[in-house]
Amino acid sequence: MIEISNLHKTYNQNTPNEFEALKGVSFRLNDKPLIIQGISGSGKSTLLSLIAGFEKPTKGKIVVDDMLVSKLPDLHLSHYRATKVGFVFQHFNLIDSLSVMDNVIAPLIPIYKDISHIKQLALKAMQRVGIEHKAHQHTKDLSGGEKQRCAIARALVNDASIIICDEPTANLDSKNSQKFIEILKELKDDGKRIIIATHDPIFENLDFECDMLRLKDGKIEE
Amino acid sequence: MKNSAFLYFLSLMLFKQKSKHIGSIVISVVLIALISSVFFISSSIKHSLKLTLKTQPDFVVTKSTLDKSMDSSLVEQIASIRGVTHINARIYGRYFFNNKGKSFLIVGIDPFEESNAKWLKSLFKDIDIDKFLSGEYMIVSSQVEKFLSAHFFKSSYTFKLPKGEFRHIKIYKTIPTQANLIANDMILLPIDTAKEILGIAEDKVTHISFDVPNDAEWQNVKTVLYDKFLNINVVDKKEISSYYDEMFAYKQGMFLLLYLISLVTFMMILYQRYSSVYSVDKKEIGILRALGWSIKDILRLKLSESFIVAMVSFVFGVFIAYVYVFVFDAPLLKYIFFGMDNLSVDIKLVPYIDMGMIVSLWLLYTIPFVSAILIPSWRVATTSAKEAMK
Repeated sequence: MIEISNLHKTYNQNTPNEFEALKGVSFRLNDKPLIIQGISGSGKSTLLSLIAGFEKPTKGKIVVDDMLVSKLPDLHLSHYRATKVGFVFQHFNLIDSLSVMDNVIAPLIPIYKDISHIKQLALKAMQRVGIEHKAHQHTKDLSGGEKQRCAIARALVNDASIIICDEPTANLDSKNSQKFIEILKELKDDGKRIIIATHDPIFENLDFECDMLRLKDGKIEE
Repeated sequence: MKNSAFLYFLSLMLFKQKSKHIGSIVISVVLIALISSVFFISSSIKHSLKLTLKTQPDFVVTKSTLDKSMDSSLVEQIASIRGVTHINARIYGRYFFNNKGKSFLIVGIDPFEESNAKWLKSLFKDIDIDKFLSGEYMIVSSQVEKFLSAHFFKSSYTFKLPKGEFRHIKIYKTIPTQANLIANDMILLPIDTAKEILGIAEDKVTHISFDVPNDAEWQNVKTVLYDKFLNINVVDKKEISSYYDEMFAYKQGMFLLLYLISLVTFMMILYQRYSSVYSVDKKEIGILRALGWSIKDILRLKLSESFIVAMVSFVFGVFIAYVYVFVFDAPLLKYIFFGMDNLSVDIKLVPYIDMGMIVSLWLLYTIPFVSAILIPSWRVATTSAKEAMK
């Protein structure tokens, strides 16, 4: 269960550039995927990065499976990101000078010691999204769709229970966007908890059930 | 269990950034090779001098007045002091080669005296002492031989005596280059011949050397000598040893200062580069943090990365310095230590490594190098992953 209560995030606090990105957001995530919609600057990405543990809220609580994520010290928060969360970034955030395989294994290095075991897990993740044939190619040489599949493989490699995607189709054509929706459906069927921030209309007519949440100016729009 | 995953990823990161690392390695190798060469030369010279000093007498007495000669009767008087052994008279003086501004160190010895005989035997196994004593022959250093040969004195030289007469002396043997550290411009002669060439009266000597086997008696003997005889100067082995230390520590210190200035500049460039210029590095750290790497994991990676770069640079730098100093005899750099004011120096540096120096150099280089990379990495790692990925 993921529960968010009264979540606030203020950047550049106590400076002339102070900006409140989230203003008391609360919701509970059920088994259904959650689609967070809103225009740019509405606070979608901030909300995702708080749930993923990339940064800490200024105020409020994030509870994931009875764990108070918003108050975890760095070591535990890193472990949470490494074991519970798989994140697909809008711009993929791959390490361009590494191969697909080496990008996919990166989240497992702090967790496992045996490289051959890690490579087996990475291969499985790559097979799942159909990118294994590009395993030894540098990610800088991949197409947008291939980069995204690499990013998804990296998000899946640690068998995370929460998959968070930030504008996952923003850099994809309609064909690759459709493929992503199919992968999403498979992940949902596997019991993964999925949170997607997007303003792509493709997510409004999905053939599986989702919860919708609309953000505007850092607040949930009723 | 061996952490093959971490080692694999570490090698990936090192290989991926090889052009960046090669730049750091090249600069580091140059700096380390330069300062190691200086330390190698200086420690080799000091070591050789100290080894040479071990074979030398414990005390040397000279005259402190303008006239450097002493009555040879002083030898017997000093020998009568309790604790003094192996007393020996020598002649030291400079012979100036006409119009060239060069001079030779004339050393007159008694080849039958125990320590002299031992020294000569160690230099030449087949030396015929009687032949040397005939007065017709001299033993010269390789540099003196080279110098004379260049001035058309192939196998002998005609010395001009103080009274205007000439004395023709043949070269009997050449001192091996290994001894050039103390004998670079030396001409060894029987004591009487040396007196004749330098114009020293028969009953005079310039140096009296002796041993005092009991260390505890050294100060007492020195006090007795100063009390008993006027206008003398007594130098013991320990004083000579500390003189050598000071002389080379001074030159070594100048280079160390130069090295530190270069090192600090280099570290500042590195720090600056890791702090701001390389946003790719910053983004990578951010990505790894987002993927679940803790601050500790990031620091471990960066520490290992910088440590390997530092170690490779250090090993290469020290190796190059070793080859430059002990295989190629440190061309250019050694003249800073030996000088070239008189005859050119031809000294074979004996391989000697002062481990304390190596460890100090390693610490002096590695700590700032690793810090220059680790501190900016730590600063990035402690910001939020979202911020670092921007």
